[in-house]
Amino acid sequence: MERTRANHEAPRMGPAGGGDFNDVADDPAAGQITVSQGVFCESLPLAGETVAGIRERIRENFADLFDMGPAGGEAVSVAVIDGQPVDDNTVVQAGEFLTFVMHAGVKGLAPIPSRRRYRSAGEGD
Amino acid sequence: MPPQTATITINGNTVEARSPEGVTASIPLEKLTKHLAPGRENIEKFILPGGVRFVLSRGETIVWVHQTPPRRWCFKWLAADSPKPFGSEAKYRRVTIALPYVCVLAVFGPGRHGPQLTGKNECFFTNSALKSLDDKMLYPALLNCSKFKTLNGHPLSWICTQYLQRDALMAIPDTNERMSRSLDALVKSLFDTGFNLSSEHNEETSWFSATVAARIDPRIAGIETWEQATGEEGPLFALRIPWLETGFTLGQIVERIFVNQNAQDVKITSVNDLARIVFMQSELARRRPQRKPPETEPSKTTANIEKIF
Repeated sequence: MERTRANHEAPRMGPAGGGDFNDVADDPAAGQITVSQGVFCESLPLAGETVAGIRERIRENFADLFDMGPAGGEAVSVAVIDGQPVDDNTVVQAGEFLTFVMHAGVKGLAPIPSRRRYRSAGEGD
Repeated sequence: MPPQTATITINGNTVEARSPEGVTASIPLEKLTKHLAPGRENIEKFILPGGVRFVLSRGETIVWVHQTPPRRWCFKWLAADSPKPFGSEAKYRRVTIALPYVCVLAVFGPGRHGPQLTGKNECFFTNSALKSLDDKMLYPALLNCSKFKTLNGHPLSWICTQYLQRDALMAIPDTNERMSRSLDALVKSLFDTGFNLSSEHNEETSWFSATVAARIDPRIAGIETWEQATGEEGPLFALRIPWLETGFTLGQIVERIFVNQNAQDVKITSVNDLARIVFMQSELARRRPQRKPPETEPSKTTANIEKIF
């Protein structure tokens, strides 16, 4: 189940968004969010953007680290903030941790006897 | 009286070996050092992915210890009303649960282009950030982190990567990119794909089921109570759970991996061992550039290597 957080309609602007410099001095992390997918994790100045906007920024600038799928295509990953799935209209606040999760595929699909499965996964490596 | 052992002389960037009989061979010093540490060449030039806390190697086996800090996770977890425990007909739901530090031990072995991910990777919990190889490791209360019936020769907490597309990863020619992408694929395989009861059917059980059965804490009595505690107590409560202890430190677990992988460093216990490497490498270098058909008889140097030592 996805949800949109209503309290994110008026985003606070950090250094990336041209906000008040004094506000930035009070909160050094203003404007930065953490974006994670798999093993890759970056602190990026994308606070105040929607998830959809962040997907686009990542496609343009960080395609070597993150897989957002083709532009205009269906999202290949689920956006998650603090463990909760969010939709693409959600505005991400400074300091939040945004994860793109590929909830595709499962583990241990076929019922293979243990010894054989273990061997097939690693024997001879 | 002639010396009974070989002598090794390093002059500038060249190593020269002289046998007791006076036969000599020389190779670049760099070649000798690479031969002494196979699998580790160029590793100092790597840009390691974030979260890799330790890089340990023996022989051609390399272990990357990756750590993820505590947080709330969103997992695809087997639904209580799933018609099948795993497989194509299994039904899943999304769950939000807090985990402590999660350590993934990615095991790389020799491959066509250099180190490549094996299928013998392991996962553990810790309740604090890794500080040393003496840190005690905890079993991860996760489905699909497998417990085997016998410890001997098996991982302690095996990550099932049966469906990881390892062939595509192995084909990446650049070692740095291949290893980083492999770790990324392993971590995604662990956290992003659906958790089910495959380990309960194919191995002895999973460390989730083993943890629940051990009744370590009422909050980890099942996935529902875990979700509830995450909602009520926040993401850090997982650091206060007495997860099952492995009885091993991180260093001891990596040592088990090296033993199970039959990883061995080149043992140099005498100057003759070093000289043997110099003679062999010198002979290989002599043959390579000339691209001659294979010799029908061993060269004088080759024949002498075994005779000398």
